[in-house]
This record gives sequence, C-alpha cells and structure tokens, in this order.
Amino acid sequence: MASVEIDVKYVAHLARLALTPEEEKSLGAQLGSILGYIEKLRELDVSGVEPTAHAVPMVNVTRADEIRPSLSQEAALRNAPQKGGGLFIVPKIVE
Amino acid sequence: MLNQLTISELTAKLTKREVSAREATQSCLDQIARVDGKIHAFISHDAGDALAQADAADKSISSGVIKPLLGVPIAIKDVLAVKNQPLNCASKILGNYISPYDATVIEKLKAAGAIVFGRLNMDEFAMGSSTENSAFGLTRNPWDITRIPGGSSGGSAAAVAADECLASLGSDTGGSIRQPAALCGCVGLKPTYGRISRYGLVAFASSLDQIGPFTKDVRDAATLLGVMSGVDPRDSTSVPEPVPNYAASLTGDIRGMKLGLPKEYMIGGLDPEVKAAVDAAVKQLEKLGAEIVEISLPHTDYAVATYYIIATAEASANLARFDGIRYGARVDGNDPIELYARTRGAGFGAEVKRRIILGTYVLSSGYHDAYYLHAQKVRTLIRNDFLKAFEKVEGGREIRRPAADVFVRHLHHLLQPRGDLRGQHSVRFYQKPEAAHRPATAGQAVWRGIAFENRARLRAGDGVAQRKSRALTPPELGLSFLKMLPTRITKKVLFWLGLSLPMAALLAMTWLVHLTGGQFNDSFNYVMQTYKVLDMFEQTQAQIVDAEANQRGYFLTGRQEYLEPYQHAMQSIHDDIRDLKKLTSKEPAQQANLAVLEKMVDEELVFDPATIFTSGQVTTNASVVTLTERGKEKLEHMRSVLFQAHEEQEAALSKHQQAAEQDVVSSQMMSLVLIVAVALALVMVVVILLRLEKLQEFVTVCAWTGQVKFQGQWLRLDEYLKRQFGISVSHSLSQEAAEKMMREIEELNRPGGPPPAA
Repeated sequence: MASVEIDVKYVAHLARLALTPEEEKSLGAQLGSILGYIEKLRELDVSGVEPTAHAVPMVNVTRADEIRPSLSQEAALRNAPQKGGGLFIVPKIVE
Repeated sequence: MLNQLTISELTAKLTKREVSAREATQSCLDQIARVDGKIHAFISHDAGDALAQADAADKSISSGVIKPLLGVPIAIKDVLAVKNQPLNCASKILGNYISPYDATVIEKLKAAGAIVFGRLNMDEFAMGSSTENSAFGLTRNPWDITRIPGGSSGGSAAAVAADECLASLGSDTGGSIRQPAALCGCVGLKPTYGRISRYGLVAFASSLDQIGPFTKDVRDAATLLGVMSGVDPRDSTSVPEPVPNYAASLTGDIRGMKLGLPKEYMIGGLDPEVKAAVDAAVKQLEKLGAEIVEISLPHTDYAVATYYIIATAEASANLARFDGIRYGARVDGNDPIELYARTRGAGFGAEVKRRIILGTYVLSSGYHDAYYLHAQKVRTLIRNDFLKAFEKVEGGREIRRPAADVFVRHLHHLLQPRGDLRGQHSVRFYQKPEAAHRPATAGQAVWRGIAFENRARLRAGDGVAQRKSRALTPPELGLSFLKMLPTRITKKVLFWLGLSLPMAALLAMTWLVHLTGGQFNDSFNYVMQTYKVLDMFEQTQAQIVDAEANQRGYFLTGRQEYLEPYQHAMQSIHDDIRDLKKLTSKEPAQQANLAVLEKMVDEELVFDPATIFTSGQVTTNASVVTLTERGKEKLEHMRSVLFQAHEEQEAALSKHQQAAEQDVVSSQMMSLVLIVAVALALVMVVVILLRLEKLQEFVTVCAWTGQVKFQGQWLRLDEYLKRQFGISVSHSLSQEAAEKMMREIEELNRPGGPPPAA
C-alpha cells in the first residue's frame, strides 16, 4: 500500500491541537500509512451512488417551538474552568 | 452470592422479599472491594449513593411497587452522563467534570427502578479496542489478568464478567460493546442505530454510536433493551418505532429460522480454533432446527477503510467542543487559539490525537470529496449488500476473533465495523462451554439482524444459549498468596496449635530461667571470692606488720621468743600470697601487684636465724634493711602495694555489682515480654476456639437435596457458608457435572429433537 504525505503541522493547526515535534513526526508516519490503506476505496466505481450519511435516514426532525426546561445558569457554569459574574472568563479576543 | 445472579434471578428474589436491594448492592460493593484492585473495571464508584438508592428501592418494594429493574445494581461506562456523578470519558481533558443532567438511558433506568452506580473504565473517548488507552490506567480481563478485556467498553464487560454488578451499559461505534463482551465471556448487544436515544452519550462518531447493555444472559439483554428503547425528542436521530416486548420473544425455539453465514468472513488468516468453533455452532444451530444459508457480502473488504474515514471525520468534529472554555481542564494561552491548542494538546491522549488529525485531514479543504464523500458512497454499497442478503435470511452470522497480536487485531477490525455502517445491530454471546478453560481466546458468534428486528437476533442467541451453561463464572480472583493459607481450621490444626504454642512458651521460660540463674550464680561466686580476696589482703597486711615487728625484736635483742611468732607470720604471708595468686589468677593487675609484694617480702623479711649471729655481726641484707631508715621506706612501700591492690579489688567489685544489677533489670524485661507473648498466644487460641464453637453445633442437612437448614430456612451450601461464616464462594463445574451436561446437550441434539418439556 502506498504511503501518503501529510502536512501534520497544518492539519494540527486546523484541529487546534498543540503537538510536540516528536508527536508530529510519529503521527506523520502513522497517518501516512493509514491513508495509504484507505486509498483502496478508489478501486470502487461509485458513480451514480448516493452517499449514506446516516444508516436510518430521517430528515427535517423538528419539535414544537416552545420553552422547555433547561439548565440553570448556576448548573451551566458549575464545570467552568474560569468564571466570574455569572459568565465564562476567556482570554482577550478583540484588540 | 447475590452479585452473581442474573437480573431475572434477582428480581424474582426481590419480589418474593427473599433478599433486599441493599443486600444485592452490598454484595456488588463487596465484590468490587475484593477484586477490582486487580481488574480495575471501575474508574470510581460512590458506595454511599448506591446504598441510598438501594434503600429507596427497598422502600418501594415493600410498598408493593413493581418495576422491571427495581433494586437491580447496574454500572455505567464513563461516557454516559449521570446527574451529579463525574464524567471523564477516561480522558484528562474533562478535569473534574460533574454531569449536570441524566442521559436519557439513565433516566429510563432510574425510572425502571435500577440502582445506577459507578464509572466504568474505557478507551479514551471510546477510541480503541483494548481499554489500554485510558488516562486512568488499564483494565484487565477477569478470566486472565495478563490479557486485555477488549474495548472500548472494557470496564463494562470486565465488571459484568467479574460479577461486580448485575449488568452494565456500554457504547458501541465500531465494535466497542460486541468485542469486549466476546473477550470477557458475557452477552453484549449493540442495538439498531436509532433504537436508543444518544442524548447524554458523549459523541464519538454520531452516525455510528449506540448505547447497549452488557449482561449475564440473553434474557437480561432483552429486558434492558426493552427498558432503554424508544424515541426521544432530545435525540433527533432516535427512531419513532414501537418498542416490542423483547423478553417475551425468547421462546428458546429457533426451529425454522433462516440464518445467513457470509462466505467472505471465512477468509485466510482466521484462527483454526475460531473456525472450528463457528463450524460447531453452525452444526448445533442446524440440529436445533435452524436453517443455515450461505450469503455473500461482496464489499466486505472495503468496510474498514470506510469506517476509518467516517468515524474519524465525525470524531474530529464532535471533539472540537473540548476546548477548555465552558468545562473541563484548561491550559492558558495568550489568545483563544493558543488556549484551545494547548488545552487539547495536554488533555487528549495519543490515540485520540491520531484520530482527530486523520479526521481533520479527510474533511479538510480539497480532500472532503475525495475521502469523506467517497466513503459515504461506499457505505451505501455495503448497506445494499446487507439489504440484499437479508432478503434471503433473518439473521446474519459473523465471526469474531478476539486475540491480541497485531495481525489478528487488524483482521478483527476488518470484521468489526460492517454492521455499524449499515445500521444493523448485533448481539453477541459466548459460544463454547470450553470457554471456561480458554476464555480470552474462545471463538465468539455475533448475530446481525435486519434493522429494528432485534427480536430475531435475541431469539437466535437465546436459542443456543439456553442449551448451554449460563454460569461461566471467572476463576477465583483472590490473591494468590492467600490461597496458600488454610481456608479453614481443622481439629488437627487446632490440636497442633494448642500443643505447640504452650510448649514453645514453656521452653522459652525454662531457657530464660536457666540463663538468669547462671548469671546470678556467676555474680554470687564472684562477689564471695572478691570479699575473700579483700579479707586476705587485710590479713596479709597484718601478718607483714607482725613479721616485721618480731623480726626487728629478734635483731635488736637476739631473743628466741621473737623468732617463733616471726616464723609463724612468715609462713602465713607465704600461704596468703600463694592463695591470692590463685584467687586472682584471671586478673593480671593483681598478679603484678602480688609479684612485687612477694619480691619485697623475700628481700626484706626473709633471713636465716641460724647464721645471723655466727659472726657477731648483722650481715644479711634483710637485717640491714630492717635496721636502717631505708627499711622503714620499704615497709611503707609494701603497705602501699597492698593498699593499692585492695583498692583495685574494691573498684572491680562495685563495677561488677552494677553490671549484675543491669542483668537483673534486663532479665525482668525479657520475662515481661515473654509473659505478654504467651498471653497473646492464649488469646489467639481462645478466639479460634470461639470461632470453631460455631462449627461444633449440629447442622441439619437435607438428605435429598444436600441443602443446609439455617435459622429455619433451607439454604444452598454456598448461601449457608456466606451467611454463617462470611466465606466467599466461587462457582465452577466438577468434571462429573461437566460430562453430565455435555451428555445432556448431546441428548438434546439427537435426531428427533429435544424431548418434550414436562
């Protein structure tokens, strides 16, 4: 099976995942060989075949637009790593 | 023991009020305390909360409430939200997360009366098939702790197999229920996708994930499936199909069922043992009246690659929510992007990172159509394979092969995810009675079924399982060194214990007395001898003075009357010095003193009276010495030598007395220690005797069933041992019973079918 080159650094940035140089190196090799294996799907002619997103296709599942019970502010904030004044605290986003 | 029962067995006992939910829960907690240190199926469990739920269940039972799971302890995989309990997905990234709500399945279990407890170990975010990828340490297979329990629901399977709970919940994306159930020898069921709400299940691959039960028999799996199934407004993928009575469909009769055996699964690389197990099962199914039909699933070879793409793509999207903002652990950064990356880099394990990267890659710009869309189309082809095959049969049969080497693992993966891609469900059960001997490598059967026809699969599984031993109880999980200790104290052991302990004490006492007596004797002799020496020193001094006085008188007057006392004194001096030398033979200092003294006596006091006046002159050295001033000095010197010897002897005596006093103190201490030791030994013997007292009562044993009468109740021997002595019992089959069972199975399989039920 062919090995596929993969730019791990770029993909890790897309995934918002900080990797050590060692991780980058080993992941690159491992994922390259997995992608090589996946290439075998190209043997199949899928022209005219509809994709399956879910095994049991259901569309437009909606519910009545009404207020239902939900988490209280206190419960929603209970697991926050940093909070204050009833809000999540995050690093500065705008200059 | 109650923890070893199936759900149906326990609920029967609870309804009849033979046992309480508290007793059942406590026996699970006891089992956890006993074996989980070795297996590590649980990440954590809240014993107080479980017992409180049990008490509430007991209250309901006593007020006549009837619910399908009332009072049944069920443990939960660490991927399902249970209100006010921790939820970690076996990952570091969730920190100290406490669920603020119940998953729908948990609500349903609680509504059905179950005691929901414990957080079961798993591969991090359900990614893996060995339960080695957990931030909380790995789980071991209860049948053989050197082997993996499978995964990702390894904790769920191990906990049921080790009787730490009556049943458990797991989740299955690409085999995470079925494979560990096979490896641990319990029943695992992945229901049809959409059958059970996923609300409150932490998502891995949303189009494949399903929650399912781990149980000890097929009936229990049917019961739990019935409780958990149904549409849920909080999960838009749950399907509004009516929920049938699954348990009622378990008739044990599979005559006329058409079962498919995919030819693509009997491929090269299959373990001969697994193939033999499948062949044997096929034969047995045919004997039981089922029809086995060969079917074909032509796209089998593409299933794993398709699964890799779809599952990782969905995982990369689902796991984006773990960013350190609203919950879980956080590693700070200078801006939000850096915070996300650092938090995720530190929080996720290697396997999760690998899948996120792969999933992100196949979804990234320019690759989405080539990988993800393409895989979804192949998924349609695989799905069509099954739809076509199911036109011929009711249930497809697949082979699972649980082994741990890389090649077989790969094959294993190859066999695993097909059913998941097409949305069919599977039920798995143990296949061979011999599994008791080689549980972790035993071949397993997996039943595939048409979507929402879960009943047929359960029926097929139950049809075979009913004719096999249910109680594949794992071997005793006690510590091996404890096995070396006698498990009971016989009269013989007690006799030797009772005899040897007092004998040992007596011998020790005698030895101590002997030792102390010898020391006392030595001290006494020494003191007596030293007093004698001191006495003799004083006597010698007196004799020297006497001899000198008479000698001087004789020299001055020449009268004979001085001579006799002089000679008498001299004789005494010589005798005394001789005796002193003997008495102080072990004291070099005194020997030296005596040598000096003897020399001086010879020089100053000895003379020959016969020759002294022959020349009319006093000529001898002694007489000169005596008559001059130097003589006086010499005499003084002699006295001081004696005085010094006397002093030294007295000093030695007082030193010796101190040592003797110390000896007395230490021998007193030793006696005390010995007395305490003897007292402890006696207390031990008494305690053992009191324990044995219980055994010496008359025990009434039923002559027909062998049951034991205890407090007015007839109990099985294992129940009796547990209640009377608190002895834990593990169940096994004797050679005789196993042979009998095999004969019965053969009898049932004989042409003509099983004999009609009575």
